[in-house]
Amino acid sequence: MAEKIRPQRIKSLEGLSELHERMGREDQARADAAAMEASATQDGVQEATGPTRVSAEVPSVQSSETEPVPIEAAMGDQSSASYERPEWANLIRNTPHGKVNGKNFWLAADGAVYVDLGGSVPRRVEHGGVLTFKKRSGVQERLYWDTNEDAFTDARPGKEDPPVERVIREENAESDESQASGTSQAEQPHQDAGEESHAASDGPADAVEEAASEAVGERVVEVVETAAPLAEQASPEAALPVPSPRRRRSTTPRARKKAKDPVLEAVEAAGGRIVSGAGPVLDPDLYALDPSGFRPSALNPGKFTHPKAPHDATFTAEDIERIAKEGVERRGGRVVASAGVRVENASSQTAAQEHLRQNFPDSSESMAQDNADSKVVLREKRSSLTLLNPSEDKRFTALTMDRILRDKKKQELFGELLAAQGYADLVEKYTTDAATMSERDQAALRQMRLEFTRRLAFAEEIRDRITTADLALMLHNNPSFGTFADSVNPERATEIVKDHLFKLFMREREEYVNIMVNTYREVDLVRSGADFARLKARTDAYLAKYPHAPEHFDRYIAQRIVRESPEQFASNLPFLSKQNIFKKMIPGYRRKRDAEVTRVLDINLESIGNILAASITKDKDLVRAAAREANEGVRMAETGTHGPATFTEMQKLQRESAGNYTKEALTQRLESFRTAYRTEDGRRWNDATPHERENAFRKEVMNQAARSYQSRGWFAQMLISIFNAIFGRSVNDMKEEFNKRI
Amino acid sequence: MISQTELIRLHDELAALAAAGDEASAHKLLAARFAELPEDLQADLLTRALLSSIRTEVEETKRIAEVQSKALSIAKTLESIKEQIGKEL
Repeated sequence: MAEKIRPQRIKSLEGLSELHERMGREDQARADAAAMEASATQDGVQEATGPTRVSAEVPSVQSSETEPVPIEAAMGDQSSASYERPEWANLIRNTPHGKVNGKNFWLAADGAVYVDLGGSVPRRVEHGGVLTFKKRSGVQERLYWDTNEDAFTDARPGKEDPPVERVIREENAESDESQASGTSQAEQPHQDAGEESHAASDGPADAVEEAASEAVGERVVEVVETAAPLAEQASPEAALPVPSPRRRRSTTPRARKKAKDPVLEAVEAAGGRIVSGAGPVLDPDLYALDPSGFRPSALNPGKFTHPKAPHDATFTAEDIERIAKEGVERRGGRVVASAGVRVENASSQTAAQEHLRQNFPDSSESMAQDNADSKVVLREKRSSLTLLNPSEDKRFTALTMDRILRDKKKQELFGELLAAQGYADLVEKYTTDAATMSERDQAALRQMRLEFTRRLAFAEEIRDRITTADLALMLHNNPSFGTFADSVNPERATEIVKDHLFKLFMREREEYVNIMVNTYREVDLVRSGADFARLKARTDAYLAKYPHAPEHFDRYIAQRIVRESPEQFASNLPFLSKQNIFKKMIPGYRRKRDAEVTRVLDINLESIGNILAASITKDKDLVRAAAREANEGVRMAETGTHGPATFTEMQKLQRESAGNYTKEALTQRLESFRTAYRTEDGRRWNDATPHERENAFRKEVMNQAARSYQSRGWFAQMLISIFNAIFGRSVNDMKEEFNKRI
Repeated sequence: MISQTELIRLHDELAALAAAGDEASAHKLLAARFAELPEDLQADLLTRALLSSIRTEVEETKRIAEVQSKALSIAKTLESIKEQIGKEL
């Protein structure tokens, strides 16, 4: 399906600090006006004046090093079906795309520009350029970029951080937007920026000053949306936005003054905080929170909640640190324990954790556990949503060797664990003559008994949670299980899984075991937790209020929802954060603008309704879309559900042939391994036992191979499983090699 | 039972499909060869698939909740702005 750009999502944020630096304040206005004139004539695009026009371009954008070359990119002429690389089909389908210098490119939601250079993965653009997008409505979008490794950053010599974004939007003369202002100026073709300003302000000096101040404030281009593009919202499913580039915060007094726009004040009032040049500012009331009360958020990994904060409020470690540091100084904050404690690096999460660890042991523990990523389990004495690290669970008492060896199944499983951990010979040593075991071996055996007990308990716990009904549902609804649906019936599958689970837990890495244990423990929480129930009720209430159609799910808005704060989202809407040089002069401008703002708000509220509706629909594809769009990274093909999720993950997948792990290939590799081999206590190959040699070789090879299977997806799991079988066979066939001496 | 050579070939074919992002073909290939695989490998594949599937479900559910929570927060902000503008008009 042809795709369109949704104009009211487009941002026009221009950082022109380099212009200011180059020309100096005195020449700024004159240069700016000249640039505007050049822009108006260079491209042959006539621009009408009025609040709906975009009217500026500056020389610095087109520097000699990065002379942009206009390229026509007909949006919508390409389709995912016509593109020959299936793994990018979804990317093409879901993002604006076109051709640059003959190369396919995509504007990713994170603001990056990816270009197909013929490799296995897309590359970010290396050079500057200009894109011109044509839309059905006749409106043209022109995108300037100047990138290095990071898209939308100024890569020219001497131009370091901060990033500079340039998106200049132009609209053709046929657009009826120019009539929206209802002024005589709007009916005249635009001649040049200087004249435009002159007419508007009754004085060239004022106009130049205005233009200069805009440039000093690092914004020269204003984008004001009109009714014409808004009409395209009638079919939101067909419209796709251009991602908003990163905003460069204004630093000048004049620019800061702009933040006092009444609408922005409304944002501030509504959201409780605004984005300012000094960084996010918390609601003053939040400084009264007790830092020891923060707990890891179950819904937002890496974030924290507080029982006395608003239900929706989440906090970063930096927020907590700021509250701990400044709470006593603000509005009667009652952070008694933090008084006098300073953390030198306020922006460091590590510093925040250290600070909390020292001063608020309770909350710092929660933080540390949260940062342990997947190594979390429920702890009974806390609330049901508090998670802790299973590897630190002290409930287990190690089984004795007598109990292990008495039970045939336990004996077998213990053997699996020892082999996987590189201690295959311990049982033999124990059964042969336990009294002669070295201290090192005895310590290792104790550790293995404890580990075995722990893993056995976890496997039993998960086994008891697996039901035939769950498995039947998975077999038929889940693509990865669909693979086996024709081969195994649910009853038999349940039996197989429950039995094999124990072996898998003994063979796998500790990290994998912990992840799976916690996953199963979370199943109950996410299905029946009170937080989720409340969210469901609030979602239902919202949907009852706004019209919604889940099939109109808006991927771009879904991504923004997760990545932006409410106030960022609101301020990125058209009109909300833009000062326009015309607004002072045009009667009724404010009223018209506010009416348009209301329309834009309605459109976005409806989009949010569609996303919420999609999130609770029974259509699994839509639900997954809602979840996936919120994930990081550029998605790959979605022919299944559990494939590698991002280009990065794809790159980590196995590239090496399993043919490198045949008996012959491994035997050859063993030759060099033998000569370099040393035991932990310094013994050479000839002084080690065959078990020690084999264990060391297995570890060495597996560690190298593991690097090829870092993806967490189902594909990686499938390949690991088959690889293990291949490797296991090969090593078993070369047992005699470990008996040989050099 | 499938030979070591055949198993290596199967692995490499699946890896190639994975690299191409063609999961549908990979699923078909694995399903077609599933019965030939050693029992222990069958069980391993099945168990990993179940655990992977459960993990995906949990992650998706949490992510959906996150989307809902943030969407409602944003909607609240937008509604407040709309209300404020309505008062001024």
